[in-house]
Amino acid sequence: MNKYLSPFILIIVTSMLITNGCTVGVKVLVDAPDVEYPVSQTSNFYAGERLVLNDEYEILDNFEFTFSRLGTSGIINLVSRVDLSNELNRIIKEQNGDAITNLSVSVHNPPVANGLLWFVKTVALTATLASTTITIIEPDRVPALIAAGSAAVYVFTPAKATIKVEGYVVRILD
Amino acid sequence: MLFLILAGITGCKNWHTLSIDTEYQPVQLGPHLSAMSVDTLGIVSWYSARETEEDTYSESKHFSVYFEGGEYYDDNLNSSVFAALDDDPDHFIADGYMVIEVSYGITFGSFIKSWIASALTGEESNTASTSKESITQYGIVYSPVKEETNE
Repeated sequence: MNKYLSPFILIIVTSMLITNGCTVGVKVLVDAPDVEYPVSQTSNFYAGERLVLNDEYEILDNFEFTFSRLGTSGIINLVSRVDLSNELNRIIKEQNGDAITNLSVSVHNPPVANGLLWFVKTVALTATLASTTITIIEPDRVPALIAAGSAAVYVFTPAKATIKVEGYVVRILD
Repeated sequence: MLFLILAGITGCKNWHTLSIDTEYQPVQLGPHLSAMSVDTLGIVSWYSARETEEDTYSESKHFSVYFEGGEYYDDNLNSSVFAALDDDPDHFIADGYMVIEVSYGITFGSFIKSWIASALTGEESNTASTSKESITQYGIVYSPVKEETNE
């Protein structure tokens, strides 16, 4: 076991240095290509050929919903796509509105979830380095499998993003 | 290590929002849905990012305007998209979509500092995390086509 001690300490120190730049990340694409009503991020919108200004409509209600997505970014990019069309159409129809104004999108970086995922990733990195070194010193099937498995965990460890969508449902005044 | 991670990650939710403000012009997330004829002027993008490293907090905003030609490009190359829009009240943005990115990590230096601080004070270290949230928005700038009247 002693023959593994020096490389193991070296691996721990190396992996701690490597984790200096180790992060978990996620990329989410948010769009709404099939909305049936105007959905404006400002207080004005086009309805037909008419530019509707903020004194030409009444606010029926405000809305807010949140959702979370997992994904990976870094060595492997698995972009998560969220189509808001159905949800926004449903919100407008429920209020019998004509449009959405002042739509805003916010993002929250959940520290508990992403902290734990980061920890998983750093453990996977350390396990990869340790088992790879052991496999090189003394080739064996078990450490080789551990090296491959932990490398896969390292590459595919996801991160989580929580996204909030807010806005007003409005009706055009006659 | 797990204790230290959890020690720095408690707290209330911090939301990062990409805010947009124009004088009149709509910035629509989906299609413009208008019945009028429009000219496509170009593609715009802008982003807002927030970065936290230990106790250092920074925000950055950036605007990019990519137009395929025309006076709009020449006149407003160095101005923000909103200023450019306000110069042309008819113009508006539609077909918008956003790319949201989040990253989280702990640097080695922060980790060591956090560990030493916890050992010396006997209290949980405030934070040792590095986090970044960014929202990038893309959209197409349209201009309604005005019908010329024959006199």
